[in-house]
Amino acid sequence: MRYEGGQPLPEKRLHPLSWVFQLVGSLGAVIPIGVAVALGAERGGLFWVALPLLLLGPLGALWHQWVYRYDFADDGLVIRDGLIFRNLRQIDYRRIENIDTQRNLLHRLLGVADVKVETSSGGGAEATIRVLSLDDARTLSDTVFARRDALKGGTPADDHDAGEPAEGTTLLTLPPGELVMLGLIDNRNLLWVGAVLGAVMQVVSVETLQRLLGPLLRDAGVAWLDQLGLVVAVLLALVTLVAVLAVGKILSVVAALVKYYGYRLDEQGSDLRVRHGLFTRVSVTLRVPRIQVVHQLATPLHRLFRRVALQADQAGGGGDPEAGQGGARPLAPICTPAQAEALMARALPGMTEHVPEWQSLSSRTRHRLARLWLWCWTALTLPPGLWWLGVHGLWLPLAGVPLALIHGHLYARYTRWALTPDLLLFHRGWLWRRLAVVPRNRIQAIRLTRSPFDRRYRMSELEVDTAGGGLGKRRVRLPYLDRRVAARLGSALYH
Amino acid sequence: MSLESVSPATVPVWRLRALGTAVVLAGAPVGAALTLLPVTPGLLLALACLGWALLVFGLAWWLPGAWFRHLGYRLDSQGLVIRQGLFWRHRIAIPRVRIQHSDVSQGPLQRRFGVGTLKLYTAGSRFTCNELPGLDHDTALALRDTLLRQEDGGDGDAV
Repeated sequence: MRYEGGQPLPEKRLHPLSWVFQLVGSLGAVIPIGVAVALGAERGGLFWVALPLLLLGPLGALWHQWVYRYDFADDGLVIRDGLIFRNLRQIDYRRIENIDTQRNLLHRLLGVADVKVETSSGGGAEATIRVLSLDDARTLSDTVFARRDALKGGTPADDHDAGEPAEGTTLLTLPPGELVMLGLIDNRNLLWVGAVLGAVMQVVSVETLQRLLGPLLRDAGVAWLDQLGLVVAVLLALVTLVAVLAVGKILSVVAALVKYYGYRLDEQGSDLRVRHGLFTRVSVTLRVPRIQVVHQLATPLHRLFRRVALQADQAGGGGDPEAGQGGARPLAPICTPAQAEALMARALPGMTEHVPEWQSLSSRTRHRLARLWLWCWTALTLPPGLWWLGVHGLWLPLAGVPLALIHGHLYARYTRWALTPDLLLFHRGWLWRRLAVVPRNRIQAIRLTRSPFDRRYRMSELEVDTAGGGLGKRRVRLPYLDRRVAARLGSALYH
Repeated sequence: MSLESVSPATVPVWRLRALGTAVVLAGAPVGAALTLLPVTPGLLLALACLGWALLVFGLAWWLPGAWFRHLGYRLDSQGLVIRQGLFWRHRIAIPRVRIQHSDVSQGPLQRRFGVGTLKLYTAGSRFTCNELPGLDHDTALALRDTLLRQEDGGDGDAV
């Protein structure tokens, strides 16, 4: 590698076909413009406005390939991006945790790979090199890890070859049967199917469907169709609902089969390595010493099939959006509770031997939650109730009483926490259940919060912060603790 | 479990800052009301404007003091505990071994009154930067030095 005025000049270049992948990667940004062009084509003039914008994509991709360079400096990987606005990034070999390759169908056809360089800092991969030939990817990974080990002066780690299935103990494999179950449990794409069908319904409209289906029904001997108008509408709605569910579930099963085909969780030294995917082969490495929180999830559907899902938050590398749900890395997208327990013992070695003594929330939780729900219910239902039903609308809040009581009772019953010498465990919710397991030696800070409501009920909320995840639902937050209990727990975690 | 309070010299700093906000908050609606409303300024409008201005300036005077009374910290062998908040009261405990680095920052206004803000950074995800404002500047420096000096005892990797 050359140097110019003290600045390193990296020389290695991307694969000649990189621009294709860069373009595909930025396709998301092009789609709105494409839609605009399609719409604008009718109006004539807009097309010519949008055409240069469309050309920006390929040109940008070519430019990226042209200026992108990387190289191996003495103490770190050097990546230069941009020529006018230069960005020179130096990643210390010792800080590189992992080099993952990712290949979808196109990558496989062309014999290339996306290379992701991960460090322990947060927020995803430190650098994504898109794309390198397989040989270059191998060289990159070998060189980086060889130099890292030389710099560290420790024993060379041998398990960091990119893309090669290395030996190790297999902890979990998912046969197709499990994947079908996973697809059936997963509800995420129902929303999409619903949205698409809703959009279709907007275009087609109920009248058209009635016109189409009306003669059929009349042939079937249904008289007085006009009077049956409401029935037909309700029927149509039901059919649509069932169709959405069926199509959604089928798509979901297919998606699960494609995404998690050949799922394997291996243990290699202190790493857990996950591989899966039919077309896009994904390989994710979880470093056990860096696991911060392990989450176990059970939706009502999970419980119907007697399965749970297991995820881990790792320090740094917020996770790939494709590889996990909202940043968490899946240990097991689906497994039995017994398997989950065994996996947890592997992910948190030596910490799970103590049987947790579960403690419940404050005894006032039931009361507080029931009241909270009742207030929300009243605020939501009273105005429309009064509007449509008049004075009778006043009964609506009463209808919410049983629901609020049941929710308060069940939430308080199923939400509990435990403290063992090594772990803090917190189980939350009764319908959607989530168990968070935090090793005590990973806790970064402890925060006790008392809102005005907490003060009224003599409660506190305790939140622990770790170096991984911790956003959204994966925050480890123990609400509705008795004030004294929370203070004691807080000081136990602090000392 | 007693906590030390920060320097009282910080209250004027916060009051001056709040005063700036209050001028905007009170001035903008009053100005808009006086210029945009088509009616001639009557007694009622004048009273409403006066009331609003009094409320805003009253809060600007009262809040910093109340905030100061609820702000406290304690340094012990484990680390630093910071208590703050008026309505939502937080008490955050940061073990010393978890502190990655720390800053003492001082704005121009703070420099005039000799106070500073101590910032403690952890490798966490939500509470990465924890601020303890309103410390006497020398106290802040001393606190930082104490926290840093004994940090070496950690295992080197605070994750």
